[in-house]
Amino acid sequence: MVKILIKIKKLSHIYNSQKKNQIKALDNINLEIEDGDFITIIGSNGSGKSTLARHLNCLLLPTFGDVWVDGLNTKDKEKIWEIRKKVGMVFQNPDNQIVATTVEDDIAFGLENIGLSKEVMEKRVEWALKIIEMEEYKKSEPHLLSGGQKQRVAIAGAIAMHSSYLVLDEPTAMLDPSGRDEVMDIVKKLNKKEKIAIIYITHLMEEAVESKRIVVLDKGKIALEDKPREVFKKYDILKKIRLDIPQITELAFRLNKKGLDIPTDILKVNEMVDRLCLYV
Amino acid sequence: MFIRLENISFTYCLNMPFETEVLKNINLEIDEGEIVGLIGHTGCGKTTLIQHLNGLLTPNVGKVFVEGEDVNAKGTNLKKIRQKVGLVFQYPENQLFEDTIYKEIAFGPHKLNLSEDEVEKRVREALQIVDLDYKNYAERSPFSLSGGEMRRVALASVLSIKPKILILDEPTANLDPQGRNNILSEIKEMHHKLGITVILVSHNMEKIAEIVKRLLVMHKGEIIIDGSPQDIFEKRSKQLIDVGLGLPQVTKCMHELKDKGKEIYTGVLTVDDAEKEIFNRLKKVNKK
Repeated sequence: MVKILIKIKKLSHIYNSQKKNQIKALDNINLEIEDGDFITIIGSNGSGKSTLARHLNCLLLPTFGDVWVDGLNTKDKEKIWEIRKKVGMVFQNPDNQIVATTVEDDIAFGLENIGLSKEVMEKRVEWALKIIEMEEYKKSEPHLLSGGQKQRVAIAGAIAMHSSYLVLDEPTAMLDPSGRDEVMDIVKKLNKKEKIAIIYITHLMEEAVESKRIVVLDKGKIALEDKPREVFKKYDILKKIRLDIPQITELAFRLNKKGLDIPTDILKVNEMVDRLCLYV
Repeated sequence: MFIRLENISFTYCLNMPFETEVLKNINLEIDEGEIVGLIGHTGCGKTTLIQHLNGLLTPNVGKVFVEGEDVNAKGTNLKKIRQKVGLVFQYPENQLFEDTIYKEIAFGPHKLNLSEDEVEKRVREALQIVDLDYKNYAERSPFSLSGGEMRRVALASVLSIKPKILILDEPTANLDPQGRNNILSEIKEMHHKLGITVILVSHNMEKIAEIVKRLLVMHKGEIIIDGSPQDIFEKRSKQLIDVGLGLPQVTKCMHELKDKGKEIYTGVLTVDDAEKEIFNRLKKVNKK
């Protein structure tokens, strides 16, 4: 049986709820995140993606409804730190998340705050460095690293806390293509090998196809929730809410429409190439 | 020649412990009315290069000419150069500061000592180009807008000084797919209608390649490729991947087909191009 670990029930969030200019950012969201899940949240600017992410570790609290993490309600003030230990978070801009002068100190920052012994800290830092494949950068100064490397260090800082969930809010938005691949490879590994549940926010549809489930947000509501193959079949709905489908899926649609026997749920280049080889 | 760079080299923190050579002997000519994409890996020197084009940075070696005028010569009026060369920085929405959109866009024209009538005319024109309705937007605060709209207002506030050349540094970063497409089609239309020279800077060439006629690829402070997007995607794809740039999915698809021995043209930029090429190939196969 799969365990349901994060449960979001009838969650609404209203910014400026006491004032005139109220903005309803989330509107009655119901969502469950299971053990070892990998979900991607997509949606246009202002659809509520980041607001939703910030509810998962008490950075924001519900205006209405509830969020439970491993049975703990985020509204319970006593449990904030426990929840934040469970749910790690990585933001968009790598430069805003670095606090220390060496990579190992940066990764150890959270551990120091929870008062772990030096031995345990060292072990955890080694472990995290190994996962992000940056052991040789232990003593490096973070500001001299590339963008992709900085984001990997940010990820290491989060997982060193032994969090069971990792929320990444557009972690590759400021990176170039090779930096993006680096981060995505690490995220996939964390999910597969370390069994960390991933909640990944992105504007890039090519990244969204890597996850197990996609949640599409539109104006604070869940518009679609399904496997990537199913979601990207709904081209019309996605277009209407200002989203794209991957280039290769669009090509599959066009060829299919013109009578070629190409399935419309193609998500990756090699699937398309294999299929096309039968014809050309 | 509209813009000419002669043997430009630039080093940050020259003669200091953190000395970093960022530009190495760059030679470049850009004609009036061109639309050019400047792409490269993070840290390759793109932003440093464009800051030379309006005198924000002075090269250690070499010369920069705008319409024949040496930008860094004594006696050059930099104010005039900066009116000609409009630079839209990364995340330009962070530079918004006025309390209405009208005032924001009118700031530049006011500094040019234009009459109030002319200023208003320019604000109207600029808003029209970025597709924001004057009546609905002029009196609103720029801070009440969405990310995409804020970026368009920032763009309008550069357009209102009527530059002859417009340089945009990562204009689509952080926008959702629709916002990205909108801003690029506005840039394309503007180039078409006003005939201004445009340089687009990005590390994501997927969309840029669709709208420019010429691509410059930078790597470690040098321009390593200069050509049409089609030619580059067809003949230099390996090199693009080597410098960390990657190819659009449809281009990758064509290259993989070719690697499997299929005779197919690989210089495709868009889904449209790919579709056409696949049908061309099918026709040939069916004839045989």
